[in-house]
Amino acid sequence: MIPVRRDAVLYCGLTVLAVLLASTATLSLGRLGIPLTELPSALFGGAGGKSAFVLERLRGPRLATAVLVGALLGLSGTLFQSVTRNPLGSPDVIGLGAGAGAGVAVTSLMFPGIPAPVGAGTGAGAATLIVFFCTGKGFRSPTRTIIAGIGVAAMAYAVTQYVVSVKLRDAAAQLAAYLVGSLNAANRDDVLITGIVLLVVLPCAMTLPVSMRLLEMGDDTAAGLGVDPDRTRTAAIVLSVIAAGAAVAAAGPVSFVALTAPQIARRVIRSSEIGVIPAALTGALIMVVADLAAQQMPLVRGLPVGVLTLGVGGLYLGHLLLSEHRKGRL
Amino acid sequence: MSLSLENVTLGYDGTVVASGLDFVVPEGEFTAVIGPNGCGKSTLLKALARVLRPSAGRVLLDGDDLRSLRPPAVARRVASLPQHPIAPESLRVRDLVARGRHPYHSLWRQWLPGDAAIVDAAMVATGITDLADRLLTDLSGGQRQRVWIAMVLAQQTNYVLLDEPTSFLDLAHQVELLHLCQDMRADGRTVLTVLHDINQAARYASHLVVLDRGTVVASGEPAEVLTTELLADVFGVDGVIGTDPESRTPMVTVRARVHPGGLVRP
Repeated sequence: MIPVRRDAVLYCGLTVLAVLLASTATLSLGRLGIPLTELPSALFGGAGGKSAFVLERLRGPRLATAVLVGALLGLSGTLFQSVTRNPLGSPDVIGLGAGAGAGVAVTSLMFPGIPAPVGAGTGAGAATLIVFFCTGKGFRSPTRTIIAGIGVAAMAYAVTQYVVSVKLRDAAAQLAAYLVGSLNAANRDDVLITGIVLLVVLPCAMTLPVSMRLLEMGDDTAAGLGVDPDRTRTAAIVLSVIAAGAAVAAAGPVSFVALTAPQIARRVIRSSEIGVIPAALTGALIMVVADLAAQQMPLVRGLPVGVLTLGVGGLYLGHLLLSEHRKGRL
Repeated sequence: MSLSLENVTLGYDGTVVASGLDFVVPEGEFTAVIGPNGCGKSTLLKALARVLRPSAGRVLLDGDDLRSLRPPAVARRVASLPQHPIAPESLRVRDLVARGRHPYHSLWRQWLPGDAAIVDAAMVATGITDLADRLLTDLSGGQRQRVWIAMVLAQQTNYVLLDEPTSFLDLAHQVELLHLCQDMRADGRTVLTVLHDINQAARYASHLVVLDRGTVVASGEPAEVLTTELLADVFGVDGVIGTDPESRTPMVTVRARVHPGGLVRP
């Protein structure tokens, strides 16, 4: 009875296929690309020389980081949106990205020796904690969480702007790339961090949709069916924040992936269900394709991946706002 | 089996609605809780349903403190429906009724062999079998209320708590719903509802509980409970108690309000 929907399975299969295609393109296109004929042997450890170097040092970690960051953001977004019952909700809304940016900015100004991911993680964590305590109710009230998040985000931007304006210009330019989210510096540590977090968070997240679905009927109805509304909500937001925090530490605050991935998955599958896996896969696809473009496409080549997701996400957000407006919901 | 409040204090964010309240849900009855607005009817129901946590005192289910039991364990014995459940978008009737089985599931077992039959039976009992594949959002208020009741039935609990299940229904659907409550009682369940209409409560319920300012002021069969004094004291009206020509149950007719200028409380 509880059906695994055919549409959802089909969607996931196609998305995996698309991720694989884009990944192959990422590894093999361009001057440094691994030729398609060498790719299988390079992947399974047989190749040496240039191909191995490109795979293990250059494009491999970057690609893996893209996939993992995207999956984490998609997962994070779908939990956050279901729990706040708001299609425009995402961890960015509660100041996570802005906090990460401020963290990087401050550490690069005051403690230049500390690597950027550490600064980002600390900033994201600090912003989240401030939001948690400002609401007076933890994450139990979505409305309060969002309002506190907007305030914390504004303050974090102010800190970042301050640092950027007092810093030397070339250092600021480097910082700016990180502040919109970038995979240019992705390395094996990033793969490790995001990989471990995804392995831990994904199974936990998959236990939540059943309870979250019942919460759609209102807290009292769900409570009557044996769901603890506050605990479910808190668990979902905490997992969402951990996932987004890991993504931010690895790639900086990449915009809009957390917002758009769950929406795209939901619209394509045409389901009211909360799909953790479809959203994670969609996030991975968005990141890989955006980064492929950032590496190979004329005009946008060399841009931080966050600029691309910002552009695409902005368009999508506009479309979403328009269609919600037409339905009379905004 | 028993469900009761023991010396509880109930309220929201500092406002106390009831304090030192003792109450035992009348076993095997269809009880209607009546009383003026703000007397704590819904609050009482929420405390019994484990939705609202008492700031003092205990809620006891078969002798155990409700707080010491896991939420699904409570939901297998006590079902409750708030006044305004939210109908999720793009959900079919059958899937909503099936949600009543949730307390019996675990992370690994989201569907049990007997579930389909129980869900079907609940839909038959509430007369919504024909609506099984319709979207909840496409139904009328009366149909939707029956779907919610079916969900509660599928929960297969001994206790069924309903907060004003007849509000916003037209007369025919109100009567239909009250009959459903009687059916549930005949089926061996204990039903506790908040009702606004005293005459409907007296006619359909087997037991009345009158709540006033957080205290139970009367409890018993409708004919014993409803008196002209009670109408004056609790509801602030000068009423006559007649007899319903159909059911021979007490029927209240209001002559005037007791206190010109409103309900004056000492």
